[in-house]
Parts: sequence; structure tokens; C-alpha cells
Amino acid sequence: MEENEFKKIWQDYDLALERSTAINLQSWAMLAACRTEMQSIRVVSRMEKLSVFKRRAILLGILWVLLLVTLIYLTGSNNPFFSVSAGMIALISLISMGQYLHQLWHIASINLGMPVTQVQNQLVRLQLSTIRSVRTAWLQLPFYSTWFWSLHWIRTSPASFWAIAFPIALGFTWLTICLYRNIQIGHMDKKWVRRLMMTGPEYKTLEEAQDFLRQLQDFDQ
Amino acid sequence: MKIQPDRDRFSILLEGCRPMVYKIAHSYCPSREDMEDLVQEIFLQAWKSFSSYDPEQKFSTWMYRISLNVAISHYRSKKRQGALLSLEDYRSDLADPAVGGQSDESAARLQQLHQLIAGLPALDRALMLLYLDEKTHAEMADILGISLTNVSTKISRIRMLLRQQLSPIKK
Repeated sequence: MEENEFKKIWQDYDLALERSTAINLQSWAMLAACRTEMQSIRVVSRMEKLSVFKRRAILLGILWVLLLVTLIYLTGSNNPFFSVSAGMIALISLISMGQYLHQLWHIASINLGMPVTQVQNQLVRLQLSTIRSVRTAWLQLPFYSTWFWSLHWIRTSPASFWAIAFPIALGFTWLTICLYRNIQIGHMDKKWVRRLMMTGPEYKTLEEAQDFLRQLQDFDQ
Repeated sequence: MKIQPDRDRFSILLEGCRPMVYKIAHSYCPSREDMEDLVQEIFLQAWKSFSSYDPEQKFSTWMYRISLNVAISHYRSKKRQGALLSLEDYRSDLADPAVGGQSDESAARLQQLHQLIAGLPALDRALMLLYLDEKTHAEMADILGISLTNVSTKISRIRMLLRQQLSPIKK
């Protein structure tokens, strides 16, 4: 077959598509212009889907931080361990929310009318940036093992504190450092890292995104 | 009901691009139901982005970018869900002579071409579609955002692939 023949077949394909009654898009302009109708159709923009998870996470994060701040306020200076631990958890949650907000801003600033490789690069890097939020979130871990500490406990039962609670907190700290150093795109080949990151719905996209980034880089060469 | 001038203008401009949008959607999404969703999404995204369209630019170039960007994202999303059709399962009912109205031979060749396109990675597929639509190298470079030299190299590979993979239909 000659090249021109392929192109001729491809052009004739226009007619086949026109004849096909599969798609009735006569009302697309009306649908596009009318927000309520847009919401009623089956299609929900995939770009919007991408941001829904982050919006929900931010909303939950705000509620979580509000709860922690209220508890810190209510307990006052009764227990400094609780105040510091809850305060650190709230601070790290706020940083995670900031990262999510930054990602949402990136989503909103993507212009689909830009060249394909440029837009796809932005999208894939946005997906991969999720990993930063995961790393940050893990930093909270040691503080979940210290919020119930108290000076009274240390004074009255030093054995149980130094033999159990303190080593557990140290273990969590070591685990956090280990996770923080390993949870990055370059380490996704490690089985345990992959398992850990691929559990949430958001992280299933990471492996595919990394693969697609390689394709983009090859395509650009 | 008063029609906004922008919508009229958009409607007129888009009318000329409809076949292109269908072809792109169908090439990334052979399932008819999903294809309808994808075509609608392309139109919606184009409408939403229309305010950023620069009239100095060719509308078809802008529309190719929107369509390919949305179609590739859709394709990647399906890939993540493991919902892509295998090449063996890939059959286009639009290449069916009963639907498309072509001769049996043309329909079979179109089917062959579709299977070849479906076997390509997402970005190579975009380039193949632009090549079959007879875009110039400069237009391809502009739509895809790659250099002219890169386009030329890739087009030579595509030509070779077409020659190697698409054998004449046995009658």
C-alpha cells in the first residue's frame, strides 16, 4: 500500500464518522454554555476529578486542625506533651494542606490550548508531586506516640515510661526518618516503598505517571 | 433566548473541526460509549478554554492541542484503571462497511490502520494522527511542542512502520 492510499482511507473515514449515528452532539453548544446542564451529563471533566480528592482532603484537614486547636485550647497548659504533640500534628497537617492548595492552583493554571508535550509534562509532574504530600504527612507519626505522655507518668512510673513509651517513640522517629528518606520517585523500584505508596486511590497514578514521564522525555529527544 | 456572540463564533469555528475531534476521540477510545463521553469532554474543555484562545492563532491548531491533550489524559486514565482494549479485541464498528458505507476492502484497510494506531504509545499516536491528516511538519511541531528536526525524524519512522506493518489485504 502506498502512503497516499493510507491518507485517502483516513480521509474517507470522515464520511464514515459523519454517517455514524452514534454521537448526537447537536446540543453541545447549549450544554457547554449552561452550567446546570453540564452537570447533568455523564461527563465530569477529568481535570475536575483530579482536584476533587485534593479539595476533600483540604476540607477534612481544616476540620482536623480545628479539632486539634480546640483540644489544645481546652487542655491549656495542663500537659505540655499533649500541647506540643498536637501542635506539631496540626502544623504538619497545615503544611500538607498548603501543598494540596499549591497543587490545586497548578491544576487551575493548566491551559489545554498549549502544546501537547508541555501540557502533558505539567500534568504528569503535578501527579508526581503527590509524593511530596505523602512524605510530609508521614512526619506526623512520632507525635502520635508522645501526645499521651505526662510529667506525672514519668515521675510516678519511670520504668514503664523509659522501658516502653520512650523506645516506641524512638522507633517511630526512626521509622519516620527512614520513610522520609525513601518515599521519593527515585525509590519507587523498591517493593516495600511501592506497596506503601500504592495503597491510597491517589497513589495508583504514580507508577503510570512515572512511566509516562519517561515516554515524554523519549518523545522530546 | 439570547445567544451570546462568543458561543456563535465558537460554534462556527468548531463545526469545521468536528471530523478531526471524532477521529482523535475514536483513535484513543474505541469503545463507542466512552468515545461519546470523550468527544463531549473535548467540546466542554474547548468551550471552557475558549476565552484564552488567541485569534491570531489558527483555530484548528488550537483545537488539535485541546483534543489531543484531553484524549491523552483520558487514555492515561483508562490505562491506570486497566480498562484499555487489547489489540486483539480492538474492532472498530465505524470501520464496518454497514455503518461506514465504504467498500469491504476499504473497511478492512481502515480496520488495519486502526489496529496499527492502537498499538502505538499515546504520543506517537498523536503524531500518526497529524501525519494522516496531512499536517505540515511545522504544524505538527507547533501542536506537539517538539522541534522540526524531531518531527522529521519521527515521521520517517512512521512511514517505515506503515510500509512494514500494513500489508495489502488478501482478497
